[in-house]
Amino acid sequence: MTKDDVVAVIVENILDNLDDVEEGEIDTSKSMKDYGANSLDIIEVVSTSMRELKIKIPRTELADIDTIDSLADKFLEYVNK
Amino acid sequence: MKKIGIEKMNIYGGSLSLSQKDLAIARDKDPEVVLRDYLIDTRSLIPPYEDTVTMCVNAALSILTEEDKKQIGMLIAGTEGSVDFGKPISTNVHSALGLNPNVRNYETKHACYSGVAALDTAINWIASGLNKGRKALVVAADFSRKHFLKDHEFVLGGVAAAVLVSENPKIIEYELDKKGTWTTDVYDTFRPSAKAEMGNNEVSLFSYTDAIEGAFLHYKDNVGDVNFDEYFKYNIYHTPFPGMSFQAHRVLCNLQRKRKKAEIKESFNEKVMPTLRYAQRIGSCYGASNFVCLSGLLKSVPDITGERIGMFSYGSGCIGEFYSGIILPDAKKMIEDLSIDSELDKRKQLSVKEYEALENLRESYIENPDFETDLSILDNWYDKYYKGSGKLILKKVDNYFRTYERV
Repeated sequence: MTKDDVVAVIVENILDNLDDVEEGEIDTSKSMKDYGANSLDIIEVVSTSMRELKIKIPRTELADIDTIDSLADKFLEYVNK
Repeated sequence: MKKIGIEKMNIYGGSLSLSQKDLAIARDKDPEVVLRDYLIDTRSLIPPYEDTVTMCVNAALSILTEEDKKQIGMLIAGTEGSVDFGKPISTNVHSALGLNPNVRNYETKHACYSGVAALDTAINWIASGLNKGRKALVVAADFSRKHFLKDHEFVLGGVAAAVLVSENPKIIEYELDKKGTWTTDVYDTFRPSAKAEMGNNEVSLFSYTDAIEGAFLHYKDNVGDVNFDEYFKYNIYHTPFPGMSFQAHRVLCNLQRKRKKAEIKESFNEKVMPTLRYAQRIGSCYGASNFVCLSGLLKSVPDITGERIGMFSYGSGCIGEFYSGIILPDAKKMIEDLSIDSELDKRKQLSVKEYEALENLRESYIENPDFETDLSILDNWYDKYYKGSGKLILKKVDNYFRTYERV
């Protein structure tokens, strides 16, 4: 699986879980908060993405991640483990 | 199998409140966002002459008859706010309510799961037959500690519930064989001393989410592959703050079938919002949460006799439990006979300054071996609300001995 595949899963879940966001407008160098996500939205995006990618990451490792890109990098580490 | 469930129930949301909007403005936050995300309009506060003992008693007083008091054989108090490390508050509650002496009693602790842990123990005692027809009284009470200027200052509250559990239920019958449990060792929120309350918001939200998923999957292991959307008429979730129930519902909706937020909102408005009627006025409901939401649901909707309700309890630390029950024919009437709405209306709304002074005063009492509670605070609120009401208050603490009094 490539990083693009992981990003695609995350973006799909962002579109499902945030109101009023269009696919083309998501810049992965930004945080989900920039698109109006509250902390509950972020948790759902992270949880559903991990479920789909069949990975489990300790929450402590996710605490300091602030952009969609860095979330994808972290997911990728576990996908390829 | 015997029919076991709640025969009588009441909640007590304290005598004071604070507007969430006022707090948001005082803390320089956008009130609209605060109200929308947390779904709390007001939070309950209690004066320093109340504690978890008085709250439990003040919830139970109005529903127990003299006959009930004779028939109670077990009293369990769920709390994470006990006033003593050894002596359980169930003993204070037992004496203040004037129950008979042959009552097993103790506390249960598992953060906000404490009330359902107590309920579960009561149900099992009755199911075993060892109760010999006697009833169990479950009480649960908690209130927030002082958290000025913290993010989680917007998710505080306090409430007590009193629940009479018997083999003659009138409100809800629990489905004893339908349950799912999930646990893990985590430090999400915890109370390591009589004053400190530690927590990590993010860890807490994640562990709650893991627990509801784990508990519901275990429920399905035990019950069968039920369709989440069809099996439950309404869903009650633990409310550390009512807004969290949206996340809980979203997890279970998406487990059944992935869908857009807008569709989940629609389902949430129909199946969960009616349960939040009182939680939105109380704030965090701690161990009494499932009972507060059950009361809110029954008051908000027309007769729902025979309908199945899904319930989820969560205790930090942590544990999640998913269970279900069926609403009984007398439930609507029983809840209408209570005056929960008007009791909440009677609370005195404090300014942010008054709230801060109140919490500072309470903190000065904690672990203090000698003090007499000041009944003159808040413009003699005691005289207006408590005096002559028969409610229980904490009068004084003398060399750590606590004196309570019905006033």
